[in-house]
Amino acid sequence: MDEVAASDPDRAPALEVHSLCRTYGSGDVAVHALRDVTFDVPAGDMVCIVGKSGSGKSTLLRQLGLLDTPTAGRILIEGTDVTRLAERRRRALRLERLGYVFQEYALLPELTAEENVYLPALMTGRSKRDSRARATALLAMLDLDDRAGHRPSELSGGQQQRVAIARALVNEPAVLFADEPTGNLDTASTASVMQALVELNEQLGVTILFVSHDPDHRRYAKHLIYLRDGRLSEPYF
Amino acid sequence: MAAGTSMRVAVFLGRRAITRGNRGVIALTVALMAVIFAQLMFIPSLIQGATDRLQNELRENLTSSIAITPTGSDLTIANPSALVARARATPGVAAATSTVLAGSQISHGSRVSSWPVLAVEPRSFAATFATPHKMIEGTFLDPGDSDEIVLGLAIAGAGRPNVATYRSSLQNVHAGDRVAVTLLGGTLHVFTVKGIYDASLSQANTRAFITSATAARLVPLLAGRSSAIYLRTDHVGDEQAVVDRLRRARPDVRYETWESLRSTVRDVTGSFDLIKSILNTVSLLVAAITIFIVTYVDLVNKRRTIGIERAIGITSAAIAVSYALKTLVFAAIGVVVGTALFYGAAVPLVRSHPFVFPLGPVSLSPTGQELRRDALVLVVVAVIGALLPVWRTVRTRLLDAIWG
Repeated sequence: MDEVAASDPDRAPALEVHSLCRTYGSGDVAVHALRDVTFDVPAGDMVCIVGKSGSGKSTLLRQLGLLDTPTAGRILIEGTDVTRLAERRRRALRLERLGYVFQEYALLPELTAEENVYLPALMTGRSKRDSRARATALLAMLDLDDRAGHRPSELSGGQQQRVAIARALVNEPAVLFADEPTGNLDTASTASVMQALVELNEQLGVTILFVSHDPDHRRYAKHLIYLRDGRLSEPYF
Repeated sequence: MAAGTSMRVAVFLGRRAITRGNRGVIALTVALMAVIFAQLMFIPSLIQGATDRLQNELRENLTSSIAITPTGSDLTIANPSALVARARATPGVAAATSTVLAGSQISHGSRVSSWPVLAVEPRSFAATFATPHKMIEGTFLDPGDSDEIVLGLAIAGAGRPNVATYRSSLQNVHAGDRVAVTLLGGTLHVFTVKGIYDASLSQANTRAFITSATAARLVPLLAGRSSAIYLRTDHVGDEQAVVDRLRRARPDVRYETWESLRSTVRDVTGSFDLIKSILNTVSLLVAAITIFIVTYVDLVNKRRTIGIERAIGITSAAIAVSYALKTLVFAAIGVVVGTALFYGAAVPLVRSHPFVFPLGPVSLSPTGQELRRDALVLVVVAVIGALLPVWRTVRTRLLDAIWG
């Protein structure tokens, strides 16, 4: 299937992907990580990108999260083409309209949980009081209010990942991307992180795309995107 | 994004890095900066100490603070006693003495050579110059002495073949020996060597002294005359002010400060200054490279953190400034600790165990101006040394940075 349609045509797409390609290297050694990937994600959706190792899941998420630049194709976020923006604009979009959760938590070790969460809010020019209030609310929503003053090294893996999720949401992004968010977690922590994502999707209405190699995680998603060898291999449903 | 926001975030990140960074790494970084700063101060201070010592020797044994000599073709100063009295009454003058050239040739046995023989008033001479306090044999002249002479080591030799001027000296003259002096007018007179001095500065050791009374007795022409008047000021640096005051009263003579008379040591001090500049430059280069390496190693470990900061939208400027601020604070603390180390340990240690140079013991002589300059240079070098690798890191491909 080359192109997939949004599940609910009444809702405007938060994300539109057209013929996306990403090739590493050139000539005989070129690796086609993504080939002609096209799909839309309506606002408020929760989508799981699934596929085998090396299928291009993380590569796709990095293009959508503006951490990398595709070789060809287009990405539209809230109707705006962001594919070829200058790094300065891409950074501003990452800060204000996109959230990204890494597999390895990626918290800043010298900041407390609360500071990690409100740092991106400070960067938007908000006052420290407002930024802290947002962080406090998000940490409470993720059952981390009693861990706000702790540094990452004092938190469990699951707690760190929930702090990372709170940080990704502090600027109320249009889309939250999560790359294998439970890849380093035990079963109990995995369940709490996935449940947190579901609740945030339902309560805040934030659009979420997450990558997982765990078939069990499909049940948390409203829709799935299958990737095989860099191509969409199953319908988006 | 407003620059103010980037600066606010930079300060936020910098403060957290300073207060919550790895204590061991911070302590080592500050210690490194402190040692670099102390080292930066050490060699120039030592060379400055040697220069000060040299100039001090010159001032205390050869030129005094101010030398007053006749102008034009005159060989003597008119009415010298009035000028000496006026000089002594001038604010800023600690002592004044008058000298007159009384002879120029000294012989002992078969050895003979030319050296200036100065007639001096022993008490005022001892108050103006340090030479009388540097006797290695016998004692200096007393006012009542007659037919007695004091010789510099470069004249007497004193049986010390290791002295650089030994070959051209009388070689083996000691206190109590008798030497013949050819006085002005050609009169030959035999004097008993009352003492021999060693002023460290070889140029100062080439003079012989007899009392003014003896000179006046043997060469009546010299009575009441002066070929030079020397003044010691209360403080080094006051010389020009004293000269200005005296010149108003006595414009008929030439006034020269020790600085204008230091041509005899100018080559040496010039070489010292050159060595100091070279060592300063090398020290700063070493400091810059060391700080660069320390920062670079720190950044290698922080590369992923920087990648994450960029990924979540922190500006490159905020990241770079946060590192610059952190380095600025570490460098400033390093300067404070280094200064304390230098003044609290190195200076007292070298003062109690001075380095022995040919011109005598030399201690560290740091100047406030050099300290401020070196501190500023170290901080600037540290910040630049930090900014270069940071700027390089924030410009790497984002994914490469995130993956570390």
